[in-house]
Amino acid sequence: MRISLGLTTGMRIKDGLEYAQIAEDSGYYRIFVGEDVLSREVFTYLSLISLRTQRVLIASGIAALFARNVALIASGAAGMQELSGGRFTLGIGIGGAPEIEKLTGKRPKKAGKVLREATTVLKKLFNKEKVTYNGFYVDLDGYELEIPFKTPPEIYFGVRGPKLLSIAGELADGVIFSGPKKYLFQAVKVLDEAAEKAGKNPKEIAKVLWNPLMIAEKAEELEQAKKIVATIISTLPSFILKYLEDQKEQIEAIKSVYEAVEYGGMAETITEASKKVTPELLDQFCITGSKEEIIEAFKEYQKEGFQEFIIGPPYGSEPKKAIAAFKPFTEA
Amino acid sequence: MKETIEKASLSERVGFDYIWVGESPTFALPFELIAAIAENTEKITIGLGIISPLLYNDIHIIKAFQTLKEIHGNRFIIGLGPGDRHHLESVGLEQKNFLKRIRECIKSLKEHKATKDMPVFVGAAGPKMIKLASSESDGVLLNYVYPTFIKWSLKLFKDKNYTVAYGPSLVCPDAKNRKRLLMATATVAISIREEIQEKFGMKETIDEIKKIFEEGNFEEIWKYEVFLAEKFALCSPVSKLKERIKELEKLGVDQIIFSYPSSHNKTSIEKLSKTFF
Repeated sequence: MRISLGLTTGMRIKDGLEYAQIAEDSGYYRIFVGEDVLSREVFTYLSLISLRTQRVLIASGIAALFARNVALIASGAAGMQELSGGRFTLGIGIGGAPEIEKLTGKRPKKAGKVLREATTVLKKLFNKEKVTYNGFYVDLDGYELEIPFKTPPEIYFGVRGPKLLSIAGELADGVIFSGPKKYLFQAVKVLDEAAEKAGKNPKEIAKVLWNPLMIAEKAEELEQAKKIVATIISTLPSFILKYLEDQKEQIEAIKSVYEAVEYGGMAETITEASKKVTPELLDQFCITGSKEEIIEAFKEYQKEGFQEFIIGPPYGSEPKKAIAAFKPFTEA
Repeated sequence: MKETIEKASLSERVGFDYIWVGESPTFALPFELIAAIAENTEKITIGLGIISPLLYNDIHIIKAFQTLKEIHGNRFIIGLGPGDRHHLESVGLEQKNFLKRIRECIKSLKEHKATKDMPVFVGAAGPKMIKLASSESDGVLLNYVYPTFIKWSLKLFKDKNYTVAYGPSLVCPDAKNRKRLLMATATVAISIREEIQEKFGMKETIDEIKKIFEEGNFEEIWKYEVFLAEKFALCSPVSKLKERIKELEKLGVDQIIFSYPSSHNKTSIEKLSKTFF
């Protein structure tokens, strides 16, 4: 079983580095850094993590394609692969639409086309080919990397919809999933079918789960998990929530609490919304409970093909303790 | 990258005040290399010279330096410039409206709380850019080391400003690196705008050099060694090199960047340090 750490560029780099070192010391498999598009620069963040660790694998999770020219994704990834001594995996995705729009002035569109073009071209560039490609997103003319990395970085997708999952099945080396269990298990099927159709072995596509994951031995820790789930539900697209028809009333109740929020009242809103999180919803979105219960949950996900589990953020009230607490799982 | 980091660390040890990191879309992201250099040095100032706002979003530049500053403190200089035309074209961009973009980017950097206290320099070679750099940035990175060009550039300054002269360099004799120097100077020469070539009566010679590049007949370039070394490089024996630097200082140059090939081998870095420190 692979236990990995999740960071985001919204976190102070000093904290990120401290958590990364605890993760490395605790035997974590990989550190994912998610890009909050308007926050710190993801490849700079990853570089610093890479420089302060020696063994643990490192990945972007994800770097937003729409936020930059494909050449900067390619050179950023290849640079990371060189700097980290081959420990890097490039996670790519679309990125949050409002943030991308704020950054570039354009709303992301034709996500499938963009992912397909970018992945096709990135693979060639990582194989040290000179590329000329005139597409919707990629526009290169005799461009090639001059970076002496040894092995091409693998490319993972962070995607959700069936169309993008199908492209992932065809082109990606791995997929970072998140969402309710019912959706996840269906999404894996979509991915696997697309992989088979493309003549690939679905088992060779890494399936990574980035859902809230926390050891909760006490009632107040469970309350924390409920707060996280309430926040996730408030931001999920409707096509994913459709998988939870039996929880429709509770989901609408949670959403309505967020819709009524007034400026400055977020903490109270989250607490209020978390009261409406049922045990069923908690189980759908979060792996939590005692260590034994978490092991059981891992088994359920592993049966569906998930090999790697990302922890946080958030990590609860004591992040360092929470990250170190997973050491026994990394040794399992 | 490992070698570059070692050279950066050596440069700090032997007494250099600044390390400048160049950028090309074909290399690793400059932020990655700067992060690695900062991690392996203690206090030397690290300049990014230069990055093109035509390729990079202002927010990315700001946020990259915010991230670096959080860990390594305020020891960075952000150098902006239009970027190499051929490189930009290779990634689907045109080198146009760059004065406007550089102006906008300086404004963004100076207004954002993460970068407002960081020096922003501008790389300049043509008259418009020299005027902009001298009046709107914290320093001018001149792509020249030849006194005549420097004098001409300084006359174009709208305001007095911190001035950096940047060019290929070598402590001579150095037979091993002579060809590298020659190619570096030729690359600088052929990238000079035609109006400046004409102004200094170099157009015909530079056209001949361009032809050599187009035809790939590089052995021919040796014929232009004296021209290229004199006008586009700091290339002299130790005693003469000191004189050349003094001359530039007298003209008003505040900082000299010894660029490729001397910056790319440890022996040259040590030779330079023995000359100046």
